[in-house]
Amino acid sequence: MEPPIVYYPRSEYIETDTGNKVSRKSVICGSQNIILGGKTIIQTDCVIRGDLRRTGGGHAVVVAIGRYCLLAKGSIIRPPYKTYKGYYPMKIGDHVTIGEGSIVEAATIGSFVHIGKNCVIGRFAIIKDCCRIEDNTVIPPNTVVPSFSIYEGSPGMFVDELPECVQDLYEAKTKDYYSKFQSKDS
Amino acid sequence: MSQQIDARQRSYVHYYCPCPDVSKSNNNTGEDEEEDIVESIPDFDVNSPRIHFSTFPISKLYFCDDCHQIRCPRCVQEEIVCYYCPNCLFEVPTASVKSERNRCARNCFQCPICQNTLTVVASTEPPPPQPSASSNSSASTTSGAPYYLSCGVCRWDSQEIGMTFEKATGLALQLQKTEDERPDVKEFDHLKDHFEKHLRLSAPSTTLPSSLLSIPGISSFSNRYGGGGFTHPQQKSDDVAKYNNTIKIENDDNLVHDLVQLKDVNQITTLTQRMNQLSDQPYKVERLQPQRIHLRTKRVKRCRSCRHILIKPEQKAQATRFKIKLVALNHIPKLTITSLPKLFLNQSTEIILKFSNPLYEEIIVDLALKKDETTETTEYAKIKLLAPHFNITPYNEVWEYDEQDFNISSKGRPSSTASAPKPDIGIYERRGNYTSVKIEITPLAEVDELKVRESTPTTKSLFFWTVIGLGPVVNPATVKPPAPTRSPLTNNNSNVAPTRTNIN
Repeated sequence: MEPPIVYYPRSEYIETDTGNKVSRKSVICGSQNIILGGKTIIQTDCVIRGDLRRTGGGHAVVVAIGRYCLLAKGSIIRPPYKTYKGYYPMKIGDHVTIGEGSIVEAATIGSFVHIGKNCVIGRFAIIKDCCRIEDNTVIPPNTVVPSFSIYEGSPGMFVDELPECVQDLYEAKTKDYYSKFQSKDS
Repeated sequence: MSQQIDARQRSYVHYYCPCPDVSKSNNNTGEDEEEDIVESIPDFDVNSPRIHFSTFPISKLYFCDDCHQIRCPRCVQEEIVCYYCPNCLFEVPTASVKSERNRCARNCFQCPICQNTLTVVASTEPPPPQPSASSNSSASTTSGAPYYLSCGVCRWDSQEIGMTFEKATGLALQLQKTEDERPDVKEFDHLKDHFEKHLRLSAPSTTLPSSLLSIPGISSFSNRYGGGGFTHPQQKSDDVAKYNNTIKIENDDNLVHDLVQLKDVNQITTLTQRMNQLSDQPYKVERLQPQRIHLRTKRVKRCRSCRHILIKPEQKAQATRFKIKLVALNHIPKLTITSLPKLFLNQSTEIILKFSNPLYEEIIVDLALKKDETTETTEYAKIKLLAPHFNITPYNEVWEYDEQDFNISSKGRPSSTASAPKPDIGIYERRGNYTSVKIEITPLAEVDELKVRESTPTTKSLFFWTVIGLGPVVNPATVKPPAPTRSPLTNNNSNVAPTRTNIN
């Protein structure tokens, strides 16, 4: 089934010159420490904590997000921390979809990943390229999700393997979503 | 509204792989290709329960260039390329896979209670870093001598069973000694020694490549292929001496006594926990031990008839690229449902199917419902194809980069390429590398899932069936119209408002 065209009121989103569409109703803390790759969509009520960083001085990238990513409504991105060691930087790859209401505290997320709704990704989880995390999954801290796997359940366990063409599929899906996410003068 | 979303999520397009009917298609002489192909692929019943196992979404299908056929995951043959640990992502050389019994040889362990990965934790925590340099030496000495394993999910730790380690790395090596003392491992080693001499005599050389030997059960075929000197099977088997088992395990009578006296069911292991520790399968939770993590494999997939490689991944465990990737997504047109209005009983509705062309050449598509028929009436629905014959323009990579222009351009191609002056009947939209066509459907029965089947040959004489699931059919008589119930309320409101304004 083809996804429909989604309209958003033009006044609600900021569109940067690299094509990022950031909602004004999202909570972005420490925006100078956050890098968005380009053509990334951040929807309403998203929280990105770029202010949680180690005191080190100088410009440090706390959250790096790739191209064509989608952070759906209500998702929370915060960097992971270790006691006595502080916060660690977080890196999200390209073509990543993070579903509504998900809380992501992973150390790295690879490219071409689909994370479902209401997921909880624990601290220092490593999600490699081309993975899928189903809705309502809880990934425990320190887990490694290898490539081409589908994780489901609470705690998230390996359930299935993804087909080899998933990279093309997710790339087409995110590009298609971006082209269908259009502004409308309300 | 929720029903509409439900219908859209339940709609799908699956492709049929004729691998169960392989005997019929092999009888082709191949003289008149198109006719033969149309006749050889048999008519299939959409509503039979067998269909569920033979139809797949296009993402799961492969395409063999040589045979020019779709291959499904059930009819490809797999061979193992490399083994890697799913936790540390470390590639294990094939030689040590057998000696490590297909498990990770490093620090990867599985919690015996919840089967999640365990982390290595120091018994004493290092103190918080202090700026003075003199405290550095004391910090290194107190960084936890006995290490233990801890689970982040169920809070189990290996100190409960008394398992601690001296060093933080090479944990499997530290456990090696206790593992070798296990009765099942010792018995297996005895068996291997006993049969080794016999094995070397009976099967001197096998013609199978070593990668195939990793598949369990394949060695039984090696007798058929490589057994040149295997002329007298009866004689050879007589040479094997009778094996006396060396390890004796006594029955544990105390266990039965303890189980009878149990008060709390949480003290017994669950079936999953027991099956993860196959060596002794304990009943009591205290006897569960963390197991090393099983390795995962990267596999090469081959076409079953011509042995052509369809999928070849890169040798490195961490790479996600493929050296050879012949997937159906890149070779056959992809069908998606663009618009699916609610299906009502006895009401004809139009659905729009989008055909996308992934090739660099134009393809001509012929749709048919049942061997060159464009209308069909089954007990479930009356289906009419409005556009049985159309072409799809080729894929052009330039459109990937010219996205802005692509979106702004109006529906329908510019007049230079659309040579036909009259409008194409039944074609909804023709844009880029896809064509959308209309199909008219009149459901005749109220079903939970309406399925339609179609066959689609293209110019290179490729023919395949697709099953299109359209979701539920609703009987409009049973749907209560909400509008009349609301109107008395609105009438009341409108009566109230003027009186208020009058008072004010």
